[in-house]
Amino acid sequence: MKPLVHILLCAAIVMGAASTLGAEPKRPPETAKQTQPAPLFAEVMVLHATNTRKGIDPTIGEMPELGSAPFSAYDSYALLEKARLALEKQDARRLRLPNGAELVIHLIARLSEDQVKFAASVTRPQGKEVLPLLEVKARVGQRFVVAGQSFKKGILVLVIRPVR
Amino acid sequence: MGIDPRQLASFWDGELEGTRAAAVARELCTDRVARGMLNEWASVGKAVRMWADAQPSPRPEAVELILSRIEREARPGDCEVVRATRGKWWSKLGRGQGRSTYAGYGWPLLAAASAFAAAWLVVATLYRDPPRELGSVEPVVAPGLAVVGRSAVRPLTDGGGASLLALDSGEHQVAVFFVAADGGSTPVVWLLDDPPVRSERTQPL
Repeated sequence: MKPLVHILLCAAIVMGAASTLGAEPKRPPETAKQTQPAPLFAEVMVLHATNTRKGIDPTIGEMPELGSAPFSAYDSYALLEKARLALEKQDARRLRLPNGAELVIHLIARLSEDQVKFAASVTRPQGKEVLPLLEVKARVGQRFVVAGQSFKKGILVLVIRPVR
Repeated sequence: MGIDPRQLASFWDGELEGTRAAAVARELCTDRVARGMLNEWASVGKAVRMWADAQPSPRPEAVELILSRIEREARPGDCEVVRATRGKWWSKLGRGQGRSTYAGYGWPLLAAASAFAAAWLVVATLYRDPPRELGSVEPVVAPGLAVVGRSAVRPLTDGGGASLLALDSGEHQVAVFFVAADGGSTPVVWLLDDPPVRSERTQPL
C-alpha cells in the first residue's frame, strides 16, 4: 500500500509541475506604437514689449492678454521669434533668447491626449538662473506667459503653449 | 503827536498813576492825533467784545478740566517730588524705604519684566515663520496677484486655463497672476527685479 501512495504522490507532484511549466504563455504586451498619442509641441513666441508707439505686431495673432494690465503698460509688441519645440521626456529642448538667456523646456508627463505637464526654465549665460523652475499643466492651446526680462529699452514676453 | 505812544498806551491801560496820568490827560486836550488813536483803540476793543459775546461759550466742564490740568502741571510741589526721587530709585530697590511709590516692589517688578522678556523671546523664536520649502508656501494673493520670492507656490489655477503647479524663482522676485483670455485665464509669471543689461534701462510698468 505504501509504495502505491508514494507513486500517486509523486505523480501528483509531477502533474502539478507540468501544468505550471506548460501554462499558456502570456500574451505579448501591446506595442507602444499602437496606443501612443500624437506628439505635442511647445510653441514659443518671443515678444518684445516697448513704448515706441508701433502697436501690436499682427503676426502675433489674437492675444487679448496684451490689452490688459500690466501688458497694456506697453504700447508696442513685436514678434521677435516663433519656435516649435518638441515635448519629450528624455530630451530637453532649448531656445536661445535675444537677450542671451536660454529657455529650456521638457515634458514631465503626458496626462491625456491633449493635456501635458511640462517644465520650463530660463537661464542666463554663465549659468546664472533667471527662472530655475516653472511647472505647468496645460491643454492644447492653453498658453502661459513668462515676462519681465529686460531687453533693449523694453522687456521680453515669452508666450508658451502646447500645440499639435 | 506830542505824547509818547507807549505812554499813551499805558495811560489807556490804566497803568499810569498820579501826576503822570494827569499830565497825559492835559496833553490829550490839545493833541488831536493822540485822541484819534484813543478813539480807534476804543472802537477796536468794542468790536472784539461784540465778537466775543457772539461766540458760543465752552462747556463749563471742559473749562474746569483744562484749568485743573493747567494747575496740576504748574504745581511747583510736584516738580520738587520728581526731582527728589530722580536718581534715588535704584537705592530704594529691595529696601522698601523712602517715599517713592516703587518702595518694596523693585525686585519683584524687575523679575517679572525679565520673565516676560524671556517668554517673549521664546515665543518669538518658536513661532517665527518657518523657512520656505518648495511646494509648501502659500502665496500672498492680492486681487489676482501673487508675489513670491525664492519659493514655490501651490498649484495656482483660475479654473479656465493652464495651471501653474510649481515655481522656483531663485533669487528673483516674481509676480504671479492671471489675465483674462479667450475662454479662461492665462497665468503669467512676471520677473520684478530683472536688471537691465549693460546700459539699458528697464521700462517701468
